[in-house]
Amino acid sequence: MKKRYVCSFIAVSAAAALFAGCGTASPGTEAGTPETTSEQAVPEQGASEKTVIRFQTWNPGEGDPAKDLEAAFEEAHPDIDVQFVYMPYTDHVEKLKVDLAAGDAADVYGVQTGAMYKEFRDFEEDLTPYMQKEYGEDWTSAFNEYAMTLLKAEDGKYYGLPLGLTYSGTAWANMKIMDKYGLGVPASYDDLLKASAVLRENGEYPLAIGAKDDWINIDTFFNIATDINSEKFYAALEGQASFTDPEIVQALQIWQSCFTEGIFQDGALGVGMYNDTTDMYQKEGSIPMILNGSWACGAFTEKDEQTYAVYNSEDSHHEVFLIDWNGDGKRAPVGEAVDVSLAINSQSPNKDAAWSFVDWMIHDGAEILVNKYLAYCPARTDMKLNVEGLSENGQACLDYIVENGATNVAGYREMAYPELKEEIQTELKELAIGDITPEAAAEAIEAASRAQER
Amino acid sequence: MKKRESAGKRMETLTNYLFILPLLILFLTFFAYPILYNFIISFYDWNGISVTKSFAGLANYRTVMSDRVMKAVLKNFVIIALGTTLPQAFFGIIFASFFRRHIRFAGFYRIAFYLPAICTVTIVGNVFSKIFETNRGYLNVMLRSAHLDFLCQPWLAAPHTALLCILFVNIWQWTGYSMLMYYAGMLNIPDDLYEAAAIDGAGPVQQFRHITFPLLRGTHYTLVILGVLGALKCFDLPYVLTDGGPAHATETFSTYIYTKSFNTFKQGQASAIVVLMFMIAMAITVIQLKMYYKEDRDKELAE
Repeated sequence: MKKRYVCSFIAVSAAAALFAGCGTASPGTEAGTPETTSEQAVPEQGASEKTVIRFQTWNPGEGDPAKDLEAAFEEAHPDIDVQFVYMPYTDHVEKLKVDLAAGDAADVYGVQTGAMYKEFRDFEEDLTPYMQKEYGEDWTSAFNEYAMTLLKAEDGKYYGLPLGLTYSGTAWANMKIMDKYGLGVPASYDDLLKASAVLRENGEYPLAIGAKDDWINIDTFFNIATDINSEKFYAALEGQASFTDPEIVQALQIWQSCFTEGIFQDGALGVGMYNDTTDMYQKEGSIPMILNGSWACGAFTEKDEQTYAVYNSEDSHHEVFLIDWNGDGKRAPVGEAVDVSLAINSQSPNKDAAWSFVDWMIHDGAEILVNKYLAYCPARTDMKLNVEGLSENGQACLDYIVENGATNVAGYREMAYPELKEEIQTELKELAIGDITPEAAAEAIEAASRAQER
Repeated sequence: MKKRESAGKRMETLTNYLFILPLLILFLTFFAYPILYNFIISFYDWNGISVTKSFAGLANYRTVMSDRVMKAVLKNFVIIALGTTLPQAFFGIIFASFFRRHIRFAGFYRIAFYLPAICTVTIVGNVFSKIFETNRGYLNVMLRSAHLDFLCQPWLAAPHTALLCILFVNIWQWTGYSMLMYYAGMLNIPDDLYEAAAIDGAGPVQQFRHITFPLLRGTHYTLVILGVLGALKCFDLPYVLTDGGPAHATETFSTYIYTKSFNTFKQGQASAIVVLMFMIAMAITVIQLKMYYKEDRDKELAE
């Protein structure tokens, strides 16, 4: 009998222990967070208590920029301990979804304008009153105008603030290789065709693209379509024009021709951008041209030996360029994105500390990221571009990007319609394989556009 | 007296329930609840994030059933299930038969064949992406240096070869596991049977056909069930090697659920696919177990 009671006691204890194990940390404490050890979370006896906040993002990446930001912020705000959590974009979205549902998400997180910014709305704090209180009613004028239109929600409020800007649609050329074959920077589709033929004949890559990654396909197709008629293309994205319009069909046809006429390298659909293709351009310096956005300019400031040699050795010379895809004599416009915007988790128990961090990041933090690491172009109108240790060649490339960012923007880079985007991505790959005609692809995209809720 | 006895019995029953309580809680929390919750979500239009969800009835199921990508997913499931399970079992049993014959360095070979099974799929995927790359990939470079240029292919960039690459890497990685299962099964077959068969004049092929193969029936079924369910859940390899592409050519249930859930924010549709996947898995398992136990002496289990 005694044995039975002992056994019962053990069973009940085991069940209780199991429940205890399932318990969550109380709000406001960091003990339950996976990245935080209990030692870190509990303030030392006698030491002034620090508010611990977590910042989760995919950009800026891990490494020196993160360390610099953390150190500089904690020096300016000794009462706040910020913990940086980095992961690739898809993991970032995945983790946020799970953590937000569990009430254990980061206090501040990076958001991409477009679908992500819209879908996470329930957990994004309205930052308008914070900015108005700090900088007055006219606070938006301190930021790039177009960036603020991307961040202005349907209700007129701002749920994210821009850390920096990036531009899509650019291509890069390693002139050391191009010069070897007497090739200049290709200005048009025909130039690209000729350059690609010469490069292929000599066993070199033509224009490289990691078309396994949908984002570069979308960037490139947007670039082609906006070169032909940007107003019509954006109207189609917004459901106000048809994708079967001849000019959009022409854009799809040019995209397909890049694969069938050998402008892009063979097997482009089998490789991604980061790091399959970018390493060949940025670290090895072994391919002559690559499609990549303005952020690739940051490679000029990279300190690792390989990249430094590719970008900063005596004979290195790179050019950034925009292509005139339809041969009308005008270079294509760029797409603009807020990269990244910062949001405060509306469930955060540490909103004041989170706001202090966001405020610091969009000012002092952005200064470090732009002028020390060239991670983005400035989102603030009052920020002066003065990138530390940038070579003459790097500065020239940056000037080209800044000039186009100021005068040659077609529209947004990230659309807010995930299903339409998914369909465009699929059709672009079908076209690249050659399974479908541009007309059929346009029909399929138009059907998805009509079904898309806006 | 009787009252005391029945009270004792009730106490004993209660004690027994208390012992299984922790396991029951674990099962309900981590198995039953997620399945039920997923089933409920499949009837809602929800982005997986918002606080509110709207009831959509069977709309998610209708959308998923009429989705052309789902057709590719189902086709790929059948191809991957058959294209990996059967070759893995075939090569597994062949290798296990060799190693059972006490050949030299059999232990070393067994380990070498099993090693891929313990490698992380991400690493395996990255290594094979370098091998299959079109321009500078090791496979095409080797073919070119052997003047076999006509055999060079954009392995991961063309739909038909991309799926073949997935099958090849999967077979390469998991044949060692099948080999080990068969090898363990073969060790349980008494030597007397082979000796008796040899006395009766049965050669190695006949011995394999009439002794080894039938007595490994349990292993065959286990491997087929695991292989088919593995094909159903297949995610990591297509995700790393091809990202489900090109143009959904290597899309599987899991990669498509991931896309629906995290790229297009259609959690309801993703959950509907999970329910379909779950039903397929249940059906396959029931059919296979029925077939297995039908031939078994313990027919009660088949009922």
